[in-house]
Amino acid sequence: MLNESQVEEAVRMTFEEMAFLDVVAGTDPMTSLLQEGPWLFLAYTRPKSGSFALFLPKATRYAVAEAIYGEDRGEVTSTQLDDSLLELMNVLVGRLLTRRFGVGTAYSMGLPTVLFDFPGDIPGFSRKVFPFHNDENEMILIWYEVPA
Amino acid sequence: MNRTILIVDDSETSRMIIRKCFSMTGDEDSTFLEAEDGIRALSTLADQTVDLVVTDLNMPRMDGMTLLRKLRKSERTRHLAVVVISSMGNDHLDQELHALDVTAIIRKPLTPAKVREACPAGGF
Repeated sequence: MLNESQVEEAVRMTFEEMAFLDVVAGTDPMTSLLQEGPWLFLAYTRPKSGSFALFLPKATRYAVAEAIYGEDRGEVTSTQLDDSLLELMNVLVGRLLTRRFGVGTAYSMGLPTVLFDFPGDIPGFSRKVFPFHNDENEMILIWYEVPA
Repeated sequence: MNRTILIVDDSETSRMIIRKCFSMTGDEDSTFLEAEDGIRALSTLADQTVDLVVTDLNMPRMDGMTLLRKLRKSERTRHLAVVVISSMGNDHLDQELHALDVTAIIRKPLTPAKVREACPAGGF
């Protein structure tokens, strides 16, 4: 896995470029948020198996969709909301995996999806939690991967 | 420019971003067609004449690489200009795409600046 600062840079750049949002790393693992939902989820299978789960609070979810679609809250449809978040997840994971495995290694990633419940522990996978926040809105990225 | 561009991406958001970026970089008068996967793209191409295909790689049902291979096998679409837009970035993939004669590869997130940078003089 990448270290905290490498993950932070990928997350910060993705939110900045796609949604003009300032996101910075937090220090608190915010275990209370782990029971919240929904979670954006995306798995990869090559050269190692792993997955990412991302929790964003409601305000941040709408801020992303509004920025991408250039609409005010209330004008963004639920389809646009979900679709913009899945696309953000797709870009973020692509960026993380390119850094994780390097440009010289082929990797395979699945399609992003929404989980309504916290994925929890995945048997056989190690888990690392990366807390972030945008203003007062706290968010969590969880990285699962088969141990070396 | 005034041409017909087929955008192939399973994400409505991504298709909207692609449409906006191309419109902002010289294609404001072009016609945009959309397909949500490779199968729909082939269906559209069977009925319509298209000047440029802009496709994602990671899609359900038929991915962009399979679509590209099918385009290159058909006499009618063998030389069709194809721009690939993907969140995945690695040398193996790029080599495979270049072997299939793609016009350009652009990494997501797409921006007008990236389209401008990837666009050769005279357009795609």
